[in-house]
Amino acid sequence: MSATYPASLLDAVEALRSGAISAQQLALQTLERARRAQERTNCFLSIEAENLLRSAERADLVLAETRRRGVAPLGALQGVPLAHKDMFGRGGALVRYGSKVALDRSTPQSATATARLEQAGALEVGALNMAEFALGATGHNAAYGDCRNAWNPDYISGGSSSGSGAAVACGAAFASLGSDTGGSVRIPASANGLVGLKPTYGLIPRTGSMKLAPSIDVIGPMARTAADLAAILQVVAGGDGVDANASLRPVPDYRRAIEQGVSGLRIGVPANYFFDVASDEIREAMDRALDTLLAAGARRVDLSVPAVAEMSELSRAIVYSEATALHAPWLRACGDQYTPQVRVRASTGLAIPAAVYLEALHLRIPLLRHFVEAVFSQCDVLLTPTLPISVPRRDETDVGAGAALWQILSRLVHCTAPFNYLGLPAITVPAGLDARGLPMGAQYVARPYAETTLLRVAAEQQRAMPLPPLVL
Amino acid sequence: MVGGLAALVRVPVLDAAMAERIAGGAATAIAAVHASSHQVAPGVTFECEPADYLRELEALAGEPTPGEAL
Repeated sequence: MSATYPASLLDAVEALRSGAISAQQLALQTLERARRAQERTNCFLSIEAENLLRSAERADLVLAETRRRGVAPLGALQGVPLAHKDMFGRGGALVRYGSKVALDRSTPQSATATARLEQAGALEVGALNMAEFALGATGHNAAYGDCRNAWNPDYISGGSSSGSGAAVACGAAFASLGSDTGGSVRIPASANGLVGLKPTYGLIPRTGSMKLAPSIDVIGPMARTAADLAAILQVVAGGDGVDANASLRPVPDYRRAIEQGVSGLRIGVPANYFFDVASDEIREAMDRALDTLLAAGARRVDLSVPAVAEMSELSRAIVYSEATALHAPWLRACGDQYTPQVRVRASTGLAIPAAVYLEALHLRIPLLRHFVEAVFSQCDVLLTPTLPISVPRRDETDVGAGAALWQILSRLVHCTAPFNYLGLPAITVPAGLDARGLPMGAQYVARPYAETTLLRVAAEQQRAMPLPPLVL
Repeated sequence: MVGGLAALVRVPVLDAAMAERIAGGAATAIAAVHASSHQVAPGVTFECEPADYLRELEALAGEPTPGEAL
């Protein structure tokens, strides 16, 4: 129990392989952190200590054997404790989707993404809290209790992958998978001081995971460092031949991308939309983030971006239409079991005419084509804030907060939702702490499948402006 | 309108104003996109199936950026 707790996922991999720490020691230390994280943030729906320790015992056997034979373990993540949003099929085990609605949500098989992590040797600490059915960007959950911000529990964790953000920030897991339909990975990652990736639509197969709006949904990882995130992405990316909307393109070497710096990269700074509602504090943080990249050899390009406000509206029309179609049978069967706010959101699509939904879908290809040509002919990545406003308090974003609630909720997804509509990859990277000691995040967006470029930028920014350690 | 729809399909809707705001926002956005002649050429709007969208993303992936010899 005296071994030092690794600071990052890659440090944990190294410590486990060298024998500096055993998988069982690491699991015990992680469980202690998970209990503290739970007390502070309510980030877990379940902590599965017995299962974790049993898996760690098996991992130690594998690690000992590979050390004896002088080879690296087959699994890139052998013995590393992770935890995920409770929306991934777990081989028939209970999956809650953040809801207490009494419907059968068990799937006989594990989700492809989490199964790949398991095959790579990763362990699971437990199941993480989330917005009920992923319908919420704040971390509120009236069924299981709100998930709170790791840096200050009076503030929102962000959502819908709320538990992922809080647990990884607290050190209760070395990385986590969430899902992103309007910002649900990037918002909690930003609010909790993490790196979070919404990959290109189709990069990570969604087989076995909860659906919210299948035309838009993506699975995305979050971690404390860009290098850790690259290690996770390396394992989970690539089509599985089951999800028909997962790309079968070859998967690049994301881990190498981290080392390549940003020299020569063109960083686009949008003149319209993204900074329109940004606070002065957020603008200054984005300036500092940009300066770190310029100092490392990147070049600034000022530009205008087309039709972004419209994309947010179109994205919303698709998400709510598809969510209502998916939820309608459950709403009919047991609508009274939904929490009130989520019942409203799940039925909102009833007001959206089918013609509007279809046209929103049909416009996506021409708008994507136009956006990529207009923006990425001028720059390699686009810089925006992840959240244009400071992380809100929990009480100002709760049900009954009044007229300001809709405005705050709209601003939470102001910079993230347009890229869900387009399917473009976007990453959030910590950009310092605000005056209240809460993290701010810079978002970088690139052309389809340019996750390597985003990881280079993220790694450079993290090197230049690391966050202070979070002391629980 | 929303209340009537909800009754028709027996699904509870509690906030018709929010639902109609989203529907209205999307309709306005569609009109704005069509009004912007450079963004959508006539005749290209009804080509999108999910597989088309995936293929379009792949086609737009482009070449590696500077420093990216992967």
